[in-house]
Amino acid sequence: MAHKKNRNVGIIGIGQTKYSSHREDVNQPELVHEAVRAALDDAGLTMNDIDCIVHGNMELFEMIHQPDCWHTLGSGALGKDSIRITTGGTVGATTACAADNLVASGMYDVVMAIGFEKLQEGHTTGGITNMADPLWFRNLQTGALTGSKAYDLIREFGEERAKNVSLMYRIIMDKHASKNPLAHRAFGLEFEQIPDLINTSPKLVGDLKLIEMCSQSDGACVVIFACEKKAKELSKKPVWVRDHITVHREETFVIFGYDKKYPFPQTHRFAAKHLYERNNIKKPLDYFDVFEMYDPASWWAVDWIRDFFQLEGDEHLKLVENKEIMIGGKMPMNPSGGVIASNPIGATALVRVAEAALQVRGDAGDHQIPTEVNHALASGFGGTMWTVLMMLEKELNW
Amino acid sequence: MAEYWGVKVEDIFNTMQERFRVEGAKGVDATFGYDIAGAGKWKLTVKNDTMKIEKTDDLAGCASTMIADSETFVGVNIGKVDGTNAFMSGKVKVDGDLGAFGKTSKMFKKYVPAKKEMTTADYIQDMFSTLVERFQPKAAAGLDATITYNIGGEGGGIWTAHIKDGKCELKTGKPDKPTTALNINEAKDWVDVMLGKSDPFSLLSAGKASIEGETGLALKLGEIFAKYVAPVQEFGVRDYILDMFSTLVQRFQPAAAADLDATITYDIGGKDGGVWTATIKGGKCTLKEGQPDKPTTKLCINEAKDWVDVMLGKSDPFSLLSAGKASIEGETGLALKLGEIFSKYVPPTGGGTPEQELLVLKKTISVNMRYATGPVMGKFLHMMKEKKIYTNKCPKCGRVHLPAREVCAECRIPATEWLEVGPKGQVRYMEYVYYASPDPLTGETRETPYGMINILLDGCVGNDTFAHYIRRDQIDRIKNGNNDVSGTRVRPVWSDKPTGSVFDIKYFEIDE
Amino acid sequence: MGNRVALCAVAQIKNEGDAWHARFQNMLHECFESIISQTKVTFDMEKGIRNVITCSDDVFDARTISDNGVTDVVGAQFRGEEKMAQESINGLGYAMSCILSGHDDIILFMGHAKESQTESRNMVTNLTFDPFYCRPLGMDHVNVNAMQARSYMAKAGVSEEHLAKVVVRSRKNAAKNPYARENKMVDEKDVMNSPLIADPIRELHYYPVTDWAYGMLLCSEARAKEFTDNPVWLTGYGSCMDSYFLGDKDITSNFSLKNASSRAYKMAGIKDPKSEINLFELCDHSAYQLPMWAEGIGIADEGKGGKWIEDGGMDKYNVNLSGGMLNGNPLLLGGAARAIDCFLQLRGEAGDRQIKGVKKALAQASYGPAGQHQAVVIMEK
Repeated sequence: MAHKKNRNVGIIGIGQTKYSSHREDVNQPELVHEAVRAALDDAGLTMNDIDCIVHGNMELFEMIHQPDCWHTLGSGALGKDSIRITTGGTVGATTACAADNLVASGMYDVVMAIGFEKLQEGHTTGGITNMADPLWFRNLQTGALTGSKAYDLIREFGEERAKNVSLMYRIIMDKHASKNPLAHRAFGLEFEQIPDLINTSPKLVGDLKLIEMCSQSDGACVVIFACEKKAKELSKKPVWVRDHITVHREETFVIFGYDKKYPFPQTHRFAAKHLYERNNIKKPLDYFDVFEMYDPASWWAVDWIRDFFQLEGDEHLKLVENKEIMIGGKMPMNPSGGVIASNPIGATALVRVAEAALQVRGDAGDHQIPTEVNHALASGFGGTMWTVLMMLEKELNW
Repeated sequence: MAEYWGVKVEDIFNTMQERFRVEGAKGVDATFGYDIAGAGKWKLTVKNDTMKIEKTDDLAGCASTMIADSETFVGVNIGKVDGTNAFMSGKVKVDGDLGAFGKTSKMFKKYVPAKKEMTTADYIQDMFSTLVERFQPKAAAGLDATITYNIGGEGGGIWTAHIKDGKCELKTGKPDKPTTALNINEAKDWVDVMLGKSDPFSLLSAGKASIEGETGLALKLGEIFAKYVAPVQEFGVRDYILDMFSTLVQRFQPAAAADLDATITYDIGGKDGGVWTATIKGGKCTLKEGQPDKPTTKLCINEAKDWVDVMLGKSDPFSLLSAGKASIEGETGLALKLGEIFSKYVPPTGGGTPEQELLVLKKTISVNMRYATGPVMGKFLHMMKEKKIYTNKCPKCGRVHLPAREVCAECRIPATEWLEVGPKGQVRYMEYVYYASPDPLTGETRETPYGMINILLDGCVGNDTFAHYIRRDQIDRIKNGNNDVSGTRVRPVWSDKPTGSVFDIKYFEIDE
Repeated sequence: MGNRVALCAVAQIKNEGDAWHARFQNMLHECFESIISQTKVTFDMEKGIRNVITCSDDVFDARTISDNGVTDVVGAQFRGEEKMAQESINGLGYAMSCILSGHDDIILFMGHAKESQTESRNMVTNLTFDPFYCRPLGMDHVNVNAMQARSYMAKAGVSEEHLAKVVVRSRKNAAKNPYARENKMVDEKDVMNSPLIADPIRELHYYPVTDWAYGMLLCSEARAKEFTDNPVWLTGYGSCMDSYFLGDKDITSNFSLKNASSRAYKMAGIKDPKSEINLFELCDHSAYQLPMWAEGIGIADEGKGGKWIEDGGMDKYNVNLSGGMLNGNPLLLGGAARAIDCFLQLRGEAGDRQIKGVKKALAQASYGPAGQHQAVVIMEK
């Protein structure tokens, strides 16, 4: 069933803080405020123009109950409608979807989505382990770390090829991050370092190495959404939200039977299938100009390229090996450096939407892709392997 | 030994003992090695809440060793290099037990380099090494000249700036006939000028400096080169006192002292103090050292340090007076007006104020919870007490849940059929864990490496596996199953006193 | 704006002081099964539920992203699920926007909370406060509400006797509500003698620790008849956030509630709530809040809360016939409880507490200390 929007919604303002592990100079509301200011400046608006705020952040990482109350000091929510959503890693994308729904509904004309996290104030891996059922799995869980995806790829494609492609992906992301002044970690890695890194980067779990895993960052991201009429009045280049889909799955994720009679479906493929079908997109690899994917680890990222682009066999590996996912390639991915470079969990998925929108606008600076961007895709990931997928368009012509 | 940011690798090791934190070493009994390229090897021995650090050639027997080059090692220790970045990009490596080495991070207070006072020679060096970067090409458009600085006395030297085609080059020594030459008798006078404590004209007038060649060019130096800013260093008490009084006249507010005719003496005690008197008459103010017989008002402050605190806003005059650390003689009323007569003292930026200290609040939050199991999970845990794995399955698709769940997520119906499975099974996938996440409740980490196995229990088919630990000494013997090939068969080892929890099974072991 | 939003079915378990016999999955599942059996709704990707909105609180659940434990019991496997980590009434507002936007035709909205699970409810609400100043002072919802109570009672002429009336009435009304928490009947003397927990709030003035869960099915106007022949329409929603620090605001001003209700009235086309709305369900965490929120939504004159009670305002305006939050609903779920009772009244299904001629109803709930955030929903037949 195609998505029949009540009215169109455009992104008219984008603000991000620098992502870092040392923001001890600001407290939480101040960090939120930086991004809010940046987004308002970008849009040329003041808080008077905002009707509603959507706030997303997992309170147990910073141990603040009902944090949107305290954050009012920095979010500008005073006197406004305000909603709070928390869905784990996907939350940033969820706030974007929520903002889209709120504006499209006609209930609000201009909505500000805020994603935020200050991981240094708590214990991240402890926080993630705390997701699990206290009666059972919390005692067994290893945070978000698993070697299972490396195991999958090695089994399917062979150890040498799999390990190389994972690191190749990682280095491409690092090269992109080096062009993004806001990125948290950019090491200046080179492809020649692959054999060395394969052998020397410390292992975390199984064949998942330290270099292949995302960082833990502090930061905030704010995106302002407006109805079509206001978007056209207030912005020279609004980025239109075409559609979005959210797919969750149950708590248990130790689904490692490894029996092909019982395939394990991933939410990524399901999300892509339904989103593209209802929007009549038959060849996503041809359709999209850029993809900001939530990539918490390089192994997962490589695997999910196959799901999101509905590929088969080893086509997805080739995209990485042939560097087609690099800026300037056929299917540029994560020109911002992605999640592997910066991961303030509550904001991360919103950053994907923000960066995809910057690409559509042509405003990504040094990490702008060289060809025109008409159709952009952004994904969010989190929880127990959940996916959020959002499509952005340059023109209102679908 | 080479210095990085003014610090030697040796400095880090030589200060380890004084920076040692006993709390971080509790329960640790191990040796750690440091292999720092360009500097040498050190061995750290930690035992019984004490430590020993020694330079060595032999790092055999160390539980783990950090390997890095000197610059990175110093940089990480003083906060100039991000430690995590260095580790992730391979600039810092750790051989051996990574987890163990991680403990050393809590054993030492941060290394803080000792603040060095800059000497006259240091300032002169710094001035000339920054001259070229301070050059302003626009102000020197069309200029073709040589400017010689001939600085005499201790710390001095001769330098010439060659300016041509909008570029500036600095060389030591001087040409035969420089376009302009500045001769300064004493280097320390030139430092005073550069630091704003004196000015060139005072030197010239006092015969402490002279100009040869084109005087006009000399007068333009302030445009051709941007102002010299001294590197940040901390002001001592004496520095503040001197600065305060050297700026007093500038801070005088004539409007507030229109009809005033008075002498105000500041008698500052202590080794950093001194006596100064401000004389106010006819709307003007002059300052002299010493005091007249009967000053109109006299402020006596016992310790210079207290007065500095007041001037910096960390304390106030009334606190001093109440504590008997200061007193007023003569006209008290006038003393009360000082805040209007002289504008507030502002310490010099980039020279005096220490960096703002960031306050950090550390707190562990703990709220006890009492979790209900409900009938489904309750039954599952209850049977664990009887050393049975008894769980439920979906009546529609046959999916077996481990542990038991209220519903089948796929079919969206209650999982009403119960059955016993296992307790033995085959391993389908093992997570070989090198890095242990700390337990969110206790903060403890498990010993690594350890294996978390996913077991297809007997009686189960499909994907739902039972997750638990494998006996640590057997992790390298485990083979994963896949499709119809069976993985290593394992059996649970039960606790003697099961309580109805996941650890009623202590771990699994190979079924042989 | 597009079509109206229909509320087709509701489900709830009984409010309990300590549901030791069930974990939240069981509680939710009971509500889920009731919704399915009432409406026969499916989860088909074309015609069924594609998106579920849940409401819960990570701190009370003591689990990060606590909605990850509910996905299967609410049927959200391979469907959307969005967690409203705020007062449930905002979930209703958000669900309205999902449907009005055209993105979803049907929304399943479910929530749970177990206040009994934590050793101290006050330790949890203490965490709402900033770690540097308010938290170490020991501020929590109870003592902050107490400060608001003291100021408001002085401003509006509300006395101990008035508060006692509110409590006694709440218990009487709740006794007619089979889902209400079972509390002892009390008389005004019991209330006025009950021990102080934070002056002027007494134990009996404050809502007791409660566990509860609920479910609701919403859909677009076009599809309502597939699920019910008696839909209730959600026609208005507004929310508003006030400043954070107590010293930055006048805590008796009702700033956020006035704004929230005026926005909800505007959306629903209501000019005079007193005459146009027949029933009001207000979240009174503490007895003083009943007259205070009544002022905020405009059915009691500003500063006249005490007189309003004396003149029988609570009965005249059909306020909290369910017993209100005061009788016991968990923090964060008060709004859903209010909306559910409005729904039942509008449909004529409120049993012994049913009144005649209910055409429009209002549900209100607050979130954050001293009602920093307020929201209002308007429902009609």
